[in-house]
Amino acid sequence: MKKMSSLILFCLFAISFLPAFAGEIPVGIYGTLTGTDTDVNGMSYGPRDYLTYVNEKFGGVMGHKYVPILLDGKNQIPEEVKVFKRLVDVDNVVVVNGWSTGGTKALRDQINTLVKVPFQGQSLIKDVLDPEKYPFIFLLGPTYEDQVIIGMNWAKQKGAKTFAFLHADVEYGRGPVRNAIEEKIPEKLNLKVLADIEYPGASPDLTSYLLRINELNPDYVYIQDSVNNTLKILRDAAKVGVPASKFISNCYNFSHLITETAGKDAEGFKALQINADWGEDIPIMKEIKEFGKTHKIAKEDTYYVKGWVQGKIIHETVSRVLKSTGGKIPEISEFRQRVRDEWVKLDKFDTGGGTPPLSYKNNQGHSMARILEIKGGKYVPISDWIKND
Amino acid sequence: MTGILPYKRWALPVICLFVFLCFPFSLSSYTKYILFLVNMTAIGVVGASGLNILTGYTGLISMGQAAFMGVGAYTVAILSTRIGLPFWINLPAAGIVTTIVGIIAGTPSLRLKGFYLAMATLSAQFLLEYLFKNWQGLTQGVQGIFITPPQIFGLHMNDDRVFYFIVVPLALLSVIGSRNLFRTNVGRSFIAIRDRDIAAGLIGINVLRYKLYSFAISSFYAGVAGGLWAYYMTIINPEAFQITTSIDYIAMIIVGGMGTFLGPVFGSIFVVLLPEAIQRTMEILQPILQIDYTFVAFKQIVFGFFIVVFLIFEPKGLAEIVSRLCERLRHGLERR
Repeated sequence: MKKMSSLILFCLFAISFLPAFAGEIPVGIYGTLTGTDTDVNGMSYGPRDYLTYVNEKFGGVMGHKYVPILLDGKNQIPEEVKVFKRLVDVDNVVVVNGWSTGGTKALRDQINTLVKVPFQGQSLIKDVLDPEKYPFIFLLGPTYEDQVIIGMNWAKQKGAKTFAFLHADVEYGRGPVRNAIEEKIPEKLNLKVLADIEYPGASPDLTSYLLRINELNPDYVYIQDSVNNTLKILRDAAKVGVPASKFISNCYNFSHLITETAGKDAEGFKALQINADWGEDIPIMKEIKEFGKTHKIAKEDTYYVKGWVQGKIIHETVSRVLKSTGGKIPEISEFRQRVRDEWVKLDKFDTGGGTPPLSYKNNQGHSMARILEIKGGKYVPISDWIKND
Repeated sequence: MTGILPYKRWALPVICLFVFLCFPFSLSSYTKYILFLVNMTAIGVVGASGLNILTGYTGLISMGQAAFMGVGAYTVAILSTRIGLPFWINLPAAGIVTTIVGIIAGTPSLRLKGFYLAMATLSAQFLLEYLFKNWQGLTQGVQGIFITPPQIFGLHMNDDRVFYFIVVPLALLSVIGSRNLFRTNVGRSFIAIRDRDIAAGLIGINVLRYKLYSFAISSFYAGVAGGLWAYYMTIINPEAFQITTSIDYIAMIIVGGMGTFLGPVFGSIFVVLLPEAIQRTMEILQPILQIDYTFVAFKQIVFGFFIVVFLIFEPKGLAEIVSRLCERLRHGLERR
């Protein structure tokens, strides 16, 4: 028993002296690889693949290779907190590419005060966009609230007088709608909100909620949710006779899964676009296709393109830091701070057509979106790029 | 010299105490993350010990352990943010409030058994989840409540090291407490109810009253576990207390060994660490396997597989396996 105890003790102390690696740039990425929201998880594979592409095509940056670490946050706050801790404490990542609204809000104090690591999440909620309070959190595009305003403005121009909101019972659903209502955005646009309808996010059937929509008959309904629940909404709307043309949704519903799965039930459905679609004739697609010749691309959709853009931003900021240090990798806290400082200096950064040029002066890359409508099974632009001022 | 143990008996406890005190100060980059895992395991031990009392020792199935933990977590969150009470009041208060909720939830279930009892506790789980999400005035709904962690000697309580020195002794206390409980009349009554509730009633045990005691004690443990979780994570959100977490706790006591006082310890270690071990293994194998979807799903498959294996081949759980191993080691050493 004494020998056993001594062996255990030795092992525990041996772990204490494992060396960390040197000369590599670890980048942390977590997303919903399993669970809800997997329909849009191309945004997590995109940055990982871009950094791999940089390693293979350019040998990394100034001789240092990226080590992208992709973990599964399962779209659950406790899991995201756990993987975040692992990425920053064990893997010593320079940047974190995060995911959910709830997770980002839960971690915002850690990100900005305890750990101080540049964080680029997929959440676009306004609550985490504050360069003063949260200087380390960056958003790629227009916030959900910006998108609500753009959607409502468009509806107003089309002569709408009444509106309704439809969302799940999670922070991603409630938060932006709550913010829009608290800021009296419908009143400012002279639109009457007939209902703010909330459904259980995991519910397989939403017919009763669509019956309510049918009964209220608003001119337009804004869906603050993503592809997997929107598919249920469109399916059940068709059952009860609510046309898809009544629905406008955020950027996480610009997906070919909707046209392929919902078919004619999706005709007239509108979604916002904040980045390029898969397959457009733009430089960024050429890079992706080059990468695709030797690697399997996990998701061929607009979200993967968005993720690729996010990988470009990470590479650009890290490159700038290493150029300023002559190729020497700084100590991790300093590295994170300098990456953050370079991030806010990005001005009209060209993403190869993936997005409008990005300027992060206010920690937000751009605030433009355009509205697409499904016509003949395809997403067709029905507005110009609109900026929410 | 009577009353003093031979020095050989002191060796192991002293070594364990030494490791317990020194480990958090080791210099490895892995230390902080390992501390995080140890802390989460310790919280699991507290919660699982409570469930073990109810299910393992009293034979009452509960599908609502996560919801009761949520009650404890929200109690701590509300008392610390709205009233500003210190943690040494909030933590016991979390246990007491959860005990009251547990008694209220348990009372209608007293005459139910087996499947019907499981359904009744499941309804408590869903009801409490609904309240967490929708009672905005109290819980702030899905937005959750942020807690500023209290300071202990100038350090925040949710610092991994500080929390380690709080939660590990509490976990140890919870295990010792449940072990000692079953040396008392109350504990033996629980066991009698589990084994033969009708016979227990016939020999004079008030079955309904003792079932209620079991719910109360189990809920107290769950409330304290929830309170600890609240102080550590600092964000309380309904997502953390869903049915999947209740199932994790049931898995802990099945795999660890139902009705054994060390079962919650082994079960908690298993449930917290196995996904980590699989994750790390798959990270090493993933470049070779080159299949992302398999990589991600493999964790769930292995986890489920192990639970089924334990149910079929070792229903007494890890506690029994460890007990047999220790027995063989002891005999091996004695032969020398």
